[in-house]
Amino acid sequence: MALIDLCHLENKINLKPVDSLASFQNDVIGCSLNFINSAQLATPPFGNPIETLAQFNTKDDTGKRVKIEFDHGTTTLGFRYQGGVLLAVDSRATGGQFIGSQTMKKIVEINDYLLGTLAGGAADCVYWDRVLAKQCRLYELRNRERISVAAASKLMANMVYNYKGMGLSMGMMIAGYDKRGAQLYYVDSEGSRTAGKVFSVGSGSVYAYGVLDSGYKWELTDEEAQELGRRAIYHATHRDAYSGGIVRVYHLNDKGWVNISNEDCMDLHFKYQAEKGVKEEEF
Amino acid sequence: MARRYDTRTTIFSPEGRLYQVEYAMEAISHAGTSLGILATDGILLAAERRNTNKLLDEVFFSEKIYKLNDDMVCSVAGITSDANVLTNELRLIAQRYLIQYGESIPCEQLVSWLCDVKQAYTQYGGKRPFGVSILYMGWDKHYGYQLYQSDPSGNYGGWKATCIGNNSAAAVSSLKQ
Amino acid sequence: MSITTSMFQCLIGIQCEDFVILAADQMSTQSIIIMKSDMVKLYKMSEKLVMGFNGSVGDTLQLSQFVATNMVLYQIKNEYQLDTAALVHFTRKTLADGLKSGKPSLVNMLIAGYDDTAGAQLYSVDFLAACVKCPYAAHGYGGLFCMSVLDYYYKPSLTESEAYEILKLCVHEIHRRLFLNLTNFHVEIVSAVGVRTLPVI
Repeated sequence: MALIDLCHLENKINLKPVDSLASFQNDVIGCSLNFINSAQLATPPFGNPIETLAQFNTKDDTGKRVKIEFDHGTTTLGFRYQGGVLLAVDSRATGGQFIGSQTMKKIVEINDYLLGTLAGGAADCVYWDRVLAKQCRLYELRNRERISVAAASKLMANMVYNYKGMGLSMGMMIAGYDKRGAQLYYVDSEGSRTAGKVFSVGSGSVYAYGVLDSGYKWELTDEEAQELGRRAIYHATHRDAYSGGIVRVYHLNDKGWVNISNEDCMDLHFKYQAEKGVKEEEF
Repeated sequence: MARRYDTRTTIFSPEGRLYQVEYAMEAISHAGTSLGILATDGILLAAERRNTNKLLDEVFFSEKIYKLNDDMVCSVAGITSDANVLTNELRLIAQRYLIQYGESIPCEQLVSWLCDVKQAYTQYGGKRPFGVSILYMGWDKHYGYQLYQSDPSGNYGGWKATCIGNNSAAAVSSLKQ
Repeated sequence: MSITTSMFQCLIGIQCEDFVILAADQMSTQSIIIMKSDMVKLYKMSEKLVMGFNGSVGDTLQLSQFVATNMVLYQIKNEYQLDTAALVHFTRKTLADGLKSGKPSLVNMLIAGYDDTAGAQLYSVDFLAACVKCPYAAHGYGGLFCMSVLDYYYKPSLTESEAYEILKLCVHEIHRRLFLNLTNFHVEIVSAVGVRTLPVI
């Protein structure tokens, strides 16, 4: 056995009994590896998942259209300013034309000083955010200090990079406060990870950017920042069919995160229209 | 599952010695002598060729000095069959480095890689150490001409002049003068 | 993501007698959106070695870090550094192995190094692991415009400031003729004294 190990023979020839190759038990183990190691996700049982999965969106063997559409539409944004980090998100979860939920929580509270936002495949984001939360907690227990935002985002980027090209779809922001101050990172399933001041992710981001870029400056007060974030998301929910529901605003500084507000975008709409002096029947 | 091989590791004696390694060194001290001298403008390796039987065909008489790559040569003392395995491994290591970095392997790295293999055989279960000491001479761009010696324990060192094999202690003391 | 994204980025390099100069755009994009316009795509790998990366974001990040850590590991193990040619060979090999293993890195790069023996060198490596040593090179659509400028103005005896001026010509040409919005170009120079950062063009 030792010689076999030394020569790495097991990589070259299959030394296991034949029946072990495709046993039911192996299938179960293979598909539930993430119970043991949460970063070991079972991959689709075929090559090139992106293209193969895309075929499910067209036609099945009988010529009937099969539709598996993943949740995609979202607007999330985050920016750094003198008072910390501000995150704002909508809460609509869609699958194609269908609105699955209007009350999704797209900001995940990883710990008291770390927040993550979700955009893209909802299941992917929720799963990997939970894995990240676990890793961050473990880090805290092992090292008796909170994980830095840089390290947390790097963990995420590395985990996700291992599944690049296998169909994961997510674009997330990781915001937090650590020894180096307020931090904001953008991480996505392509494996990119960049620190920055102003980010917006999701189908509504083009609209959010418009408001955000025109109103953003470093010297914003807390109230101005919150209003800017809320405003940007509101305008995105107004124009983007895949964004809507509740506009959630979170603020993060040296004391940890605070949930500032959760307002229905329709209420906001009426409020903003009224502020403009538009009469109720013209809303 | 029944163990297919003896998996005992080479273990320390109560006096804190590794007998297997010492026996291997003993085996080498009976082998044909090899000697190396480092100079400023080159290196010299000399090896004793012991032809034990007149009937042995000279054509197939195994060499004791092996070329490893363009810049390195080694000479061995000890069990010839073990030596063949190790020189083969040396050549592979050198070529692996060449394919990775596009240049010849620096001398010490080659010696060090091989010594990792030798060391493994003093520790892992069910194996015996290689009964071979090796003298390496070579040149690289970092340190110029170099002479190294390695023994069965996986130890190695750089030398100005040294000798391995039968009566090597006497040869080393005469080299000192 | 396909290799076309890397064509939307730009990387320029010029090698003269005793220095190499590299310029890279600073755009970080996500589909049609500019996420950032101050991203650094030139990485200092050692005292006298800089690599410029273009390509899909995740791959560039991972590959650059892989190469950098391996270089540090080599330095720690052996107490001397890999020279430019060896590092280029190593990088190319990594890329070629990835290509065959079915997990290719979609990365184009320029490698600028200065060795005490071999002097200033510039290598261009593309995502198919083709590697060429050349006096000047450019990647991306922007590179197409630069090539003729470089063909015209390049000579081996250029001084550092002359080379910087030529880079300016290239960048201005990109700004004038390329439909892409590559606002900032980050410039680094490698010479006998090490790596220096020059003003952004």
